[in-house]
Amino acid sequence: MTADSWTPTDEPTKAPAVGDLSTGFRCVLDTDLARLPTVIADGGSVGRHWLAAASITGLGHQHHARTGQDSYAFTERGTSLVAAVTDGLGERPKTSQLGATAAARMLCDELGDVVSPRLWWWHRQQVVAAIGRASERLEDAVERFRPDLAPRDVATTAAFCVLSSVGDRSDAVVGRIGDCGAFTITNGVWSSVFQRDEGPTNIVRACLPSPAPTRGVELKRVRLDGSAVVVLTTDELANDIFSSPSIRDWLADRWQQPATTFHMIETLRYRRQGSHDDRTALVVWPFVHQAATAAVG
Amino acid sequence: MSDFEQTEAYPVFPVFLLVDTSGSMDGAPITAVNEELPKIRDVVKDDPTVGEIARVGVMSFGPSAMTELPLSDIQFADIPRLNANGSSTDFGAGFELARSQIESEIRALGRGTRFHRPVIFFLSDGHHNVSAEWRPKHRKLLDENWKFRPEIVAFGFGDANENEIRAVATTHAFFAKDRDPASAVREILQTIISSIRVTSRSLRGGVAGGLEVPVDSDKFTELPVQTVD
Repeated sequence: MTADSWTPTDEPTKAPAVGDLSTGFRCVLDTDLARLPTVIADGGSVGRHWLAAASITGLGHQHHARTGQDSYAFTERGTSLVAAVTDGLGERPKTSQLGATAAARMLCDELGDVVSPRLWWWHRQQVVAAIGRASERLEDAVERFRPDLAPRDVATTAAFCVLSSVGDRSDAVVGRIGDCGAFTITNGVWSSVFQRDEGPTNIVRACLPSPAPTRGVELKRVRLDGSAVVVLTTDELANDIFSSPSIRDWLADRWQQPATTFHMIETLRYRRQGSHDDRTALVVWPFVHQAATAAVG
Repeated sequence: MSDFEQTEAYPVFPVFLLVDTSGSMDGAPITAVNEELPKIRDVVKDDPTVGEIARVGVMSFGPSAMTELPLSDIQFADIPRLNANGSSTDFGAGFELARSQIESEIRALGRGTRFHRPVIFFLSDGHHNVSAEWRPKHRKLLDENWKFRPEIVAFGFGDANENEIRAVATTHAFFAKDRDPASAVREILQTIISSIRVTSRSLRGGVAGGLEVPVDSDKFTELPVQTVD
């Protein structure tokens, strides 16, 4: 083995490669202590639901020794599962992951206290108020723990969902701040909860924290029929889902059944031309806990 | 209509150079432009994150404006050679052409193609000297309701008017300190190449969508940008 001939050992992947792909991507680790791990993943039951998620640092960040800036969180609160994905803004490559990580948890915490999907229309203003409180908490945390940073240094977009854990089927409350994605897959057919953003992809309409955090909030109640699966994503993955039939088919096939941690990681290993940003997906299979537990032994 | 594309549509970062090719650029300055332009290809080749996403177009303006290179994957494009001639400089003609070319060339990439906010690198060694006002065409180019609205980074050198350079830019305006026009052109083009490289790595978020222009303060004076009325 010569110094310029070796390549690191890797696992083979069945994930697709789509488009005219460049070679020569490097993998250089960011050594900043504020970095996030290159991969974070989970798969398991939460109450009566099955949840699987993965967040993978994008090729672009790895090539340039930058940390990933996506995060996710989830919690079970009362009769509800609350989950969020967040995407720190790239204009602050050393710090926005701090905001993304904290915001995902704060959103879940605040939303868990106010949302009951069965009472959705009575609680809409409370949902919006909870997002406002999460924004304030994020700003307060910055002021307290990192007074050297400005709120903009930790800015992040987010998408979240709340599902009931009672009964057999229910609606989900789904929301977002900024350009994260929220989808359902029913029998292999994709549906976007929110309208696809128009215009340039790198212009962010709304984020947390913000002086007016509730201004850019989008909220919807989603009916979960039959085998519907809920998918939250950060923007790069959402763009791939919208723009690539190959990637849509791949993901829908991979998420037909509740997924394990390692299945999620493999699923996000696809290559697609121009898709270099971090990828995060959080998938919920509602009311499948018992069947999924049996499937993984 | 479904938000989901039925054919593959890849994201692009559209970069346009809008270069003054009036008579004052004749000789060493335009030679320097022609020597530096091919180096954009090097950055695209060297950095896979840039190569998969950046698309470059070149327009020129003097008495009139013309497209020198349509928006292209520069790895596979013939780099144009620019010629300088004519006694007048019409900024408005450049902005008018930019407005039509940006929209038509991004649309030509195909329905559903996602694009990052376009960037125009504007480069001039002179000042607008025809009777027609340039500002209305500049305003139209920057119409906030137009989804293809670009950011403009403006570079002036030689006899350029600092106030005009400031007014042209949306985010960054610079004046080259080097009095030798050929050297100034080289420094500007090298800065543009660096900006394409750095911006392609971090296209996300912020007012200007992650646009970064890494200038050497020994070589450029940063001019405060004027707000468009």
